[in-house]
Amino acid sequence: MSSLFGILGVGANGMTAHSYASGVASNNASNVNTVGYSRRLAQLEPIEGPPGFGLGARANGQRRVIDQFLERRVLGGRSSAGEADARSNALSILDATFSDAAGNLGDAMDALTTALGDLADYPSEAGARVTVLARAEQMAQAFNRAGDDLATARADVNARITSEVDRLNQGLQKIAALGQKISKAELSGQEASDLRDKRDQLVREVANIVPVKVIPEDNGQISLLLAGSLPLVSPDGSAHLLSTLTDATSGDVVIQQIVAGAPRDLSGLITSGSIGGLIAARDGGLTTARDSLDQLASDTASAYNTAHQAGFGLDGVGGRDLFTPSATVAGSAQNFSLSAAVAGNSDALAAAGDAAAMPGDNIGALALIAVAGQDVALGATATLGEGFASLVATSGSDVQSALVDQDQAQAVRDQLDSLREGISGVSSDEEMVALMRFQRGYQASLKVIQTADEMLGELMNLKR
Amino acid sequence: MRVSDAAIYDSNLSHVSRARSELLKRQEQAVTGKRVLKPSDDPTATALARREHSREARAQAHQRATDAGQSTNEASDAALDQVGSILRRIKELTIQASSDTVNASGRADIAREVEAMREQVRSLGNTEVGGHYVFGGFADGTAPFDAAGAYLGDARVRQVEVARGIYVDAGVTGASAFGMTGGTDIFATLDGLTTALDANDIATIHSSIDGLDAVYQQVSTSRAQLGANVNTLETARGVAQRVEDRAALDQTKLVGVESDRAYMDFSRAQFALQAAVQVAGQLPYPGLVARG
Repeated sequence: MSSLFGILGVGANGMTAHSYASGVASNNASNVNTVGYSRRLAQLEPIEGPPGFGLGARANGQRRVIDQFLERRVLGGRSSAGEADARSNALSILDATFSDAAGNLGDAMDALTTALGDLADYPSEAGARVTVLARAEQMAQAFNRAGDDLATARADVNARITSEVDRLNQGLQKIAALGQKISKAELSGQEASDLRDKRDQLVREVANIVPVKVIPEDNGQISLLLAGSLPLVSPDGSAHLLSTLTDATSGDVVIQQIVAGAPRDLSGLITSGSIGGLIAARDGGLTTARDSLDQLASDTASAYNTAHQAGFGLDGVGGRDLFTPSATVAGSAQNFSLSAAVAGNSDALAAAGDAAAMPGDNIGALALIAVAGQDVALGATATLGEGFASLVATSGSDVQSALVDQDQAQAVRDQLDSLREGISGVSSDEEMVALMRFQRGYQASLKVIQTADEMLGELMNLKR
Repeated sequence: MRVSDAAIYDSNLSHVSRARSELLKRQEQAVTGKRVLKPSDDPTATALARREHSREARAQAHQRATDAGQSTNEASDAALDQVGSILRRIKELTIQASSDTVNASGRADIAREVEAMREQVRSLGNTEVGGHYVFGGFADGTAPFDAAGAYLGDARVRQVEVARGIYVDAGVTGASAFGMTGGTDIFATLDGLTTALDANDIATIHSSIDGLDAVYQQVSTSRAQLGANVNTLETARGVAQRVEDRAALDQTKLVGVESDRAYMDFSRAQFALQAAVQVAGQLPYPGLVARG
């Protein structure tokens, strides 16, 4: 026989369970716009009583609605998008450096050839000489500017790598701290859904910076591994931070981790995430552009110098350099300049072909013009102009493929995010329906209590 | 598929964002007339256009070179034309003076005329255009013929580059036109004639005619050479002009965009943005939350 008082208890349990479930649905509805929030479902289950009799319903906590496999793929999407974004932003400087805006290097090289043409046409014109020097100076400045732009961009990328490592370390520390809190809360029987959501969001932010893998461990902790192998956060709740070191010769930033007191170089390990993208840009497109530009500058100086040395200035002196010879190929662009012998001294310009240096002797000037048609660039296979065009094409291609990768990676990330939203995101219509359901459930339990109460009341009245 | 609230808003936001960046790109293209605004838009076209630009600049320089060369050629030819006329007149007078129709005092008068014309020839030999003595060869900064009729100039003719690696003479030297090296020296010939006229030496006067013919022939040969130079330079200029025009056209084809097409693309992008924004305006849709 079931007791009427027992039925009162069943009603009470039902009320408690449904009011908890309403709370969960309301919480979901309030958090419809919270970033990183996963919707919760109240876990309603029957209360077991003696065989044959149930004791009502109870809420056994709430569970987050997430798909672990999808969450992992989302991390991959974040890393790829982070890599592509960082790489294409870092390489975008190349578009500006080699654009055809006023004062660009290509136009400056052409202008020098044109000025040399005028000198050959009118070798005794002082104005023609002065103009050649002015155009040569402008070309030198164009080389300098391009070299400086690339050097500044490189320094900027290195600074960004350092600041991304700082951001990563902050994230790792927060994740480790949350791991401790979640562990403590769940061990003492409390809900830790909010903390877990927060940790998941932080892990996603970290994935944007470096490629990571998450392994759930006991007691609510996780292992966070870099590139699937190197521990960043351990199951004991400790964070293993990364550090940076600046290489003395190249000025480039190297990423390390101190393991048992010894530094371990991680440079080859980080191939995704924003740090991976920055490294790829720095060691790829930016390095290629800098080296090609320096080689072009070096080739330009030596080709013009060879022709100029064979000619003679108005003073009958030959063997002079037109441009300062470059000691090393590296830095040739930034250091490109008119030679000391010629700068500010237009008479030293070797327009003549012999020491008599007659006013109409333009043999030297004709030889200087011919430099533009000689194969002195790209390993003596192309002219200087073709060398420049090739440099523009290569850096343009690097930027173009980075932009294409960026579009693609963003699309994949957006799609994964939206799949995740589909599972874990809040739909306010759904929560409204849930609230209605639980309201009805609550009313039903109230009715149970009311009915049991009336029945008890009639039982009491029997005695009279 | 289950769709959360955030998914609806995010999707619309990304459509609007994409429409805006497309609009900006089409606007830039329409305003600048260029399809390729940055090297990354089309790296190959950018590199090819850069080479065409160099080719265009080079062709312009070649045209200026032909102009400079023509200026020397024309001035030289005009001077030699006048020298030719003078030589013909001198020959007339010489023939006269070598006959019996003229007496000693008549020959003396002719001598004075020849002297004066000899000075005219010298002055023509020192023709100068903008500080550049056209018959001086490489030494074109000073007058090549001194009072004694000696040649102070240089034997080399200046050349100009009219196409890559192609050089053409600009003018002729006084040495060849006036017979100063290995030919018949014009001034020696005229001075000799003057002396003979003053000395009333009919035999020498008569034999001077051969010298005058030789000198005249030299001038004609030089004029023919100048004529050939002028033709070569004219042809070269025409070629360079075509190269320049072609290079300019190729650049437009590589990186340019037709204005009709550009404007249509811009209009379409504008419309797409308006559509996206319109849809955004319909959000938020009320749903169950708004029900009473």
